[in-house]
Amino acid sequence: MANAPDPFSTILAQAEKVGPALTRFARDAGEAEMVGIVLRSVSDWAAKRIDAPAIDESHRIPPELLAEAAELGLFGMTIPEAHGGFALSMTAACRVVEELALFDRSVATAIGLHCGLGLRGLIHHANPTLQAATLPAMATGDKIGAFAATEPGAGSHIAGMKTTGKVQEDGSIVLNGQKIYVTNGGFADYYTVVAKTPGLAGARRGWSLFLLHRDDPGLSVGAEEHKLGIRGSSTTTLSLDDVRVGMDRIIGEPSNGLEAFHEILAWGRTMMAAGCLGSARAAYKLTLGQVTSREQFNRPIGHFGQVREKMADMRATIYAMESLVRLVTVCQEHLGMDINFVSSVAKIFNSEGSWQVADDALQLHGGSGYVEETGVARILRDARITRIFEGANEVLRFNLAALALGGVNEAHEVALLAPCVRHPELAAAAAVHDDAAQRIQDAAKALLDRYGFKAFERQMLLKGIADAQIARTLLLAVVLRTDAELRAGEGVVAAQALRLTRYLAGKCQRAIDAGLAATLRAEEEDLVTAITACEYDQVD
Amino acid sequence: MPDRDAIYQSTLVVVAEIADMSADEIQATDKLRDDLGLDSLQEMEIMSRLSEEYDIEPEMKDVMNVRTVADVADFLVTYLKD
Repeated sequence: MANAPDPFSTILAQAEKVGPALTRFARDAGEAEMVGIVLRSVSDWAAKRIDAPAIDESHRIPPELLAEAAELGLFGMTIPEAHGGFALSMTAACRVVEELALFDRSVATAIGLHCGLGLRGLIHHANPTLQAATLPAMATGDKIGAFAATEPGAGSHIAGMKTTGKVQEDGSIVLNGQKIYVTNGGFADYYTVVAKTPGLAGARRGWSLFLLHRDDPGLSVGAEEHKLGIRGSSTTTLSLDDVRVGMDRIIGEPSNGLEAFHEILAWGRTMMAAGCLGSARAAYKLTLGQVTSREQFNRPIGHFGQVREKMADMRATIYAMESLVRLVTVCQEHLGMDINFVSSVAKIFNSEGSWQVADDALQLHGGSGYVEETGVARILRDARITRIFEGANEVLRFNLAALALGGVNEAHEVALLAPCVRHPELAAAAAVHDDAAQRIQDAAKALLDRYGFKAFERQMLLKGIADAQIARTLLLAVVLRTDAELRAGEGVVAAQALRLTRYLAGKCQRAIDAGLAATLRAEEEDLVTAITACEYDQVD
Repeated sequence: MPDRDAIYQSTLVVVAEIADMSADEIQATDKLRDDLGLDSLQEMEIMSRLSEEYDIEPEMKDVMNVRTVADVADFLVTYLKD
């Protein structure tokens, strides 16, 4: 149960490197130039060719649209050049997915899933032969990838998975099981499938990742699910009935696939957080047009205080979401860190941020927002799933709190942001972070002192720890980024970044105070337990 | 005080239930995370159930040191002996 190194200490120890990297949407200046060209192409193509209402209404992405995306090279973004791809960094790939989500979340999901969960295992863990056999066709988009982990009886809890690969006398493996909610399932060619593999490679038990092909005998794809949002993306079941494969289809180490599995999930969460950012930007863009053009009492509604408040909050949320996605990719690409913690924070914050921004957008559109034709309702529907898939936010919050509790015993000094910040106007925001760091540690220790290890059962109290940690991480990202922006120049962009950061600091302060206050509400949690126990007892 | 075998058996029953496996599939040397695929919440659930069964209140640092099924049983044996 040992914890990973404290992510805050690791990040702040290299703040000089992290800050400037957070100001870029690519790994370095050279890649930024190339990505700028890619983004213009994507944007021009998407504006002309993606008909988001039609995709939503027909519940499918036209195959010719995916073929055009393939022509643009979007399916090969993350694939190494040796296999025909563009070898974009994680930072840059996330930026492209964000841009796609600005136009349509179904298209962004299909391409993002292929580049993320669908390819991550193959690119980083598969043997060279398997890579050579699959990646070139996946780079051109001739073959599409999907990822199958969730099962009817098990979400992200790998211990509960029933899909099993049994080793045969001839050395082959026969897979049986059922996967659900497989994104891209309906049109994918390759499926990365997680299965239990008892007896494989001399291990008594273990989990392995397999690459299955749509034409593998025994593999069948179920009907499309009808969903609330991202209706054009494909979501199916996948049935494995005596699917026989060789050892050459295993991605990574046989029976030792858990580490790769978790690494792939962290990458998938990050891509999803980038999609949420694009979704929020789409809602904001529509709303900016609305509040500056719609008039009440002879002036644009954007001039009214409550409307300004919502607009400023939406804009600040988007700045925070963008900073968090970049923090994750910087942690992986520049610091070589385990991104489990930061990707979980980005996934939670960005999924909830995209929902809040879409909701505010709908509110500011008034009645027209509730009508499908304006497009805001579709953004809201699309955004809803992101709080659920890639790890439900409640589960991820528990994990964040568990890490904080585990860290208490390691008795390390809290990592401080203030010494890393140069601009005087950011001192107050940095102080909020640093004050929170100590208070969160104190609150976690207080929970352990009071409940011992059974603090883990006080999930309502732990949620407060997680909320405070999310706000602290957000502050870390925006303050380091804005400080670097201000160092680079004091123009209009940097001045606005400073305002946004000051606004977010106030908001984070309130979130931290609320989160830590929630850790004390044991009586309320007991009451909730009693209320629900009474209700559950009455169920036949 | 229950003997070591009894403690090990009850540990096995609880681990098997949380891991959704049969007890005869599990060995003492199995790592809770790497071999059984459990996460932190499931590990805590195991310790919670066993601490209720034996009416003990372990500290977090003790629980954090547990990695294998045998570690769980050994911890209980040591705790109950002390």
